[in-house]
Amino acid sequence: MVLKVNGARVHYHEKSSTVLAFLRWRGIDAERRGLAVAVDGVVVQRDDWHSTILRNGQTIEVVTPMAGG
Amino acid sequence: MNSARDLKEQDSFRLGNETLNSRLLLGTGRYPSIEVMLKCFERCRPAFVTVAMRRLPQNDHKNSDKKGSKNQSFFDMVSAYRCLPNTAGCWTAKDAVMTAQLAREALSTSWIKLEVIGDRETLLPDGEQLLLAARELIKDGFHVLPYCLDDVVLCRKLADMGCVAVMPLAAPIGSGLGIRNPHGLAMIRRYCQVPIIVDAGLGTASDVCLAMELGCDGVLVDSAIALARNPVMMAEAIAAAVTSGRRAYLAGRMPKRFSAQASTSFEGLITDT
Repeated sequence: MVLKVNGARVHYHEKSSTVLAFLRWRGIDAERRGLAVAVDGVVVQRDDWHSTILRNGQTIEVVTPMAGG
Repeated sequence: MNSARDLKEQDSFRLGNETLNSRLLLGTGRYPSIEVMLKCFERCRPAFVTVAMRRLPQNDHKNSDKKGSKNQSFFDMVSAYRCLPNTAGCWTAKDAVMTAQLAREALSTSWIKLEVIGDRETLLPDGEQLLLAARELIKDGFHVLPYCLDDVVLCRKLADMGCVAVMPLAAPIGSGLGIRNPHGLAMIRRYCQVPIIVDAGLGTASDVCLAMELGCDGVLVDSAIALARNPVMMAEAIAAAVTSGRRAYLAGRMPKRFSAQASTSFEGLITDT
């Protein structure tokens, strides 16, 4: 499937996947503190990452705190 | 006479349903290094440190941060302090609400410093979008601290809506110009019932002192410390200014006079003129 991840098109070899599996495929430590994910503009809570199914064409945001005023 | 310790105990800073141990909030941007920033925090013990929410960089996936060290993320390094996420960089109420919701999930906090910018050159806030975002976030259970203009009407609307504080600017973000409109802040103090935390544009300790002398409840400082020649020394000066200005406000300044009034009696002068 093709996803839009943090503004960039990403070709993901799986036809079906959970948010958790996708994050691991991207090399993101899912246990990392301070991580949040939204799919198509809706925040997916960490407890639901393993059960939320991704579909072709969806938009995913993966964010974390950074320095700021 | 009250000692500094008595004053601290009696003059607690209530924000929402919490009592905070400091009236100083610090930003985390523009520091020369993480190490210097942490040293400033250590000296000041701020009530909050603000953080921005940004997309996880591609090269950050392995839980490393080139600015930091030893496989710690930025968040790991600042999380010893209470983080206040912001919505910096948002241009619409919709984006600000989304960013706040992501921040709540990432940081497990319902406190948000709400910023909705309306102009690229001045970075001044957009009052209309701010009101829309604040209303929606309050409905969603957030404790909202909106960054806004020094406009008493707008501040009252934000307060009446249920914001836990208002954060009027002293001057444009990062300008270091100091308080451009002290009377505006004084009016907000007089007519607005929620805590006032002056945000943006404070350039040095005297600006901070003035904000506190005007009766504001706290200040948020970033560039004034981060861009000082000696950030740690400036952090200490600013922390002292918060205390000093607050004490002066509580003590009540003398009335201003147009002209002189001798502080020494003329009685008993040895001259006849």
